[in-house]
Amino acid sequence: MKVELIQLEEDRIRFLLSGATAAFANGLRRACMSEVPTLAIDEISLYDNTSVLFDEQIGLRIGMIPLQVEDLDLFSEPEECQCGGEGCPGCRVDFMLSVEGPGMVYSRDLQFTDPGVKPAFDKIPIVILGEGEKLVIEGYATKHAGREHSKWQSGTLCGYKNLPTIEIGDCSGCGKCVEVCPRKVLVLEDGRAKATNILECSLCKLCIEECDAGAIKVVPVLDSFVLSIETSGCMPVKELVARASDGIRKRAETLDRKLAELS
Amino acid sequence: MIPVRCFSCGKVISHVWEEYRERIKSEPPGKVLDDLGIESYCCRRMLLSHVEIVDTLRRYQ
Ligand code: SF4
Ligand code: SF4
Ligand SMILES: [Zn+2]
Ligand SMILES: [Zn+2]
Repeated sequence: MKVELIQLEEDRIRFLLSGATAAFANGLRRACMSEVPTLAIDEISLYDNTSVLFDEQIGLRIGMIPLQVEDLDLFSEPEECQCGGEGCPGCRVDFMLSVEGPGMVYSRDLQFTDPGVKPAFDKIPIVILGEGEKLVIEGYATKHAGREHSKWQSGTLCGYKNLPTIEIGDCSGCGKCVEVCPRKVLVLEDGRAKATNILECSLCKLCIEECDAGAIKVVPVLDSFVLSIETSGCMPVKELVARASDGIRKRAETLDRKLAELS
Repeated sequence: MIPVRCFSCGKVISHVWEEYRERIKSEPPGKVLDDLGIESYCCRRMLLSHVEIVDTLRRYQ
């Protein structure tokens, strides 16, 4: 298996995975989306809410705010915590939110007791308060993975496609394919169509339909995949992919051990 | 209130809502969305189709 980096930013990555099966590429994609744990606000007590939103709506909005943690490994999931799930500083981070209107309540107004925890975005609007309206909330965040609820989803837009190859045979240079390609993959050069930024090709095959000469062929490379992964902001995408692959390895090892016990 | 994240992909989109709302008064919405880094069409429709009604609701509190 080979990995080649195509693009890396703080919140998104694209890389080429070759010599792998579709099942593995999909496994990695799904691990990024639903198996990498992160913190999210889980339970709240509302002491005062005179805003226009119902308590439940406020609860949902607060829960969906991604949280950044300095050292995620300091926390464990409540079910695996030494406290047995009762709740302790090892599996909970408390917060307070107390705002009086008029004005917008933002994610940055959440005050966590642990200085290592903060909202990934400062300016997520929670609710707009009118004159004299109040919002007083106390609660805590817990660590879970996306399979539990989408608020713990660390990877958001994760996908893959086969690496495309484009073969151009007997081309008359009519330029129809260049015109129709929505990804601007094809260009005309010296009276012939030519593929340029092939990674952008979405394998839509519009160019094949358009070519009267039947000169163009788009073939997916079956064991190469272009993966693109984005994070919700709770951690850098590098960390997300590393944690996802680590999770796959650990589960494979567990399976290995269990199978060895059986035989 | 604008939903915190995109319904389809889960990306946070609400943090750009206020800037978006101000800028579309003088700029085409498509360009503003490009500038704000809202690329996928699932996320773009969240902002494009949102109607703010909290201030209307407040009158009936
Ligand atoms: S398959 Fe689609 S995206 Fe790819 S080159 Fe042809 S028209 Fe462009
Ligand atoms: S449509 Fe076919 S013949 Fe025309 S430029 Fe493209 S590949 Fe060549
Ligand atoms: Zn605990
Ligand atoms: Zn989206």
